Amino acid sequence: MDEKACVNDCPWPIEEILGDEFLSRHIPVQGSPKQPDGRRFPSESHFALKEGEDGLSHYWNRYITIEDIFITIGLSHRLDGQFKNHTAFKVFQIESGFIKSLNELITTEHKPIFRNPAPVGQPNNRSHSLVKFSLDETDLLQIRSNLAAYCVENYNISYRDFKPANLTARIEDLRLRGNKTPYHSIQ
Amino acid sequence: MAKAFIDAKLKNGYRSSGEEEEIDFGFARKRRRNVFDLYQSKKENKDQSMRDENDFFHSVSFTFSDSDTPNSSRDLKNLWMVATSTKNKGFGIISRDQNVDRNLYHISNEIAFSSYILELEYGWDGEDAKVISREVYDSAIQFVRDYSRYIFIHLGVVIKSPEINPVRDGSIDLSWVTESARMLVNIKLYNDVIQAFFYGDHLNNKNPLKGSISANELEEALAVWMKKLV
Repeated sequence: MDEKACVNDCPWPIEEILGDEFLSRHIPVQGSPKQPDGRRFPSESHFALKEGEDGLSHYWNRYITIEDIFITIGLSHRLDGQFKNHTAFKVFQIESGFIKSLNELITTEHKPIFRNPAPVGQPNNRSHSLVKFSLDETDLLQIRSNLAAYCVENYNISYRDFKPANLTARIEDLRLRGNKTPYHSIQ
Repeated sequence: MAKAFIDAKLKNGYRSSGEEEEIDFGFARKRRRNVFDLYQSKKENKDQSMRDENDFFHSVSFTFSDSDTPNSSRDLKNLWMVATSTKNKGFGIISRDQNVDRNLYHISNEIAFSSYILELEYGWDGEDAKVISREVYDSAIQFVRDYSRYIFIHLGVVIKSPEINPVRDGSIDLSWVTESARMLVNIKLYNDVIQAFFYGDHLNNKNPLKGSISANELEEALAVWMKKLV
């Protein structure tokens, strides 16, 4: 997800994420060959920060549907300028209160992304939120372990079952429109 | 000329073509070695319980020219742990000199499975994940091998195999989750040194153990704690 926050002329207020709300995260299914049976998914590795990131990006369920999560992925660029493959991800949700309970130094921060119009490859995202840590390396391992365990142990609640391949034609059409889409500007 | 004998697990009906094959050995970094002599022993020599219908265990000999000969005990020590055929994806070296105890074959299997990590390219996660360096991978495998062997030989416990997972920042996770304990070890380049950061607990965050050590050193206190990963 693009990390450019909503600053000027933002139509969306920054809001507090309450404990009973859910945050969703897209998890890549790529990166390994066919997994042996019994392997855990998602794993702790799916909750690691990238270099330079100051928080884990999530979608606040209040402001985005599962369908729009996959469209947002499909309209987003990787750093090399290629569109992301929306079918290469699954989405899991975690209760905000659980995240905050893991450590008193964890915060959930609503950080919508908005420009009008947004450039191609960087769609707007009202739901964008960050789970931020002020923790050392080993504490981060504990947090990653607990986030993965939540998804595995509460799979029926956490996994958001959806077939993103059903959106492929629509996403391809939106890509052809450049940034002249509802995902890039308020029309 | 020198020869090294090792055990190999040949997956998915792999059969040697009898021709030269290129093998990328762990100790040789990115260099390629020619394998001149590849043969199989009788399957009956192997423990039946170690095979399933699609897997076959073979003794394999590798003949090296003088210039390619592994010249240190460390090279040979590492021989078993990483070797990925460039032509046959199902080829994985799982032991060396037939000295790996059969009790640790499950660890060797995970190591063999994890060799795909070395083939991951930029963006392997569908986004912007970094390539996992050979150095980090080798250190992670060494960590798994050293601790599992130490705990088995000196403490008499066979621990479970970790899941060896790539992380998008270019590091590797070693993850154990058992019925009574869990441990996550992250192997990464940190301040120009390959470090192992670890966190473990007896589930529900009880009796936590955390810290960091050089990935290439064996810390006895950590090994003692890891006895619970069964």
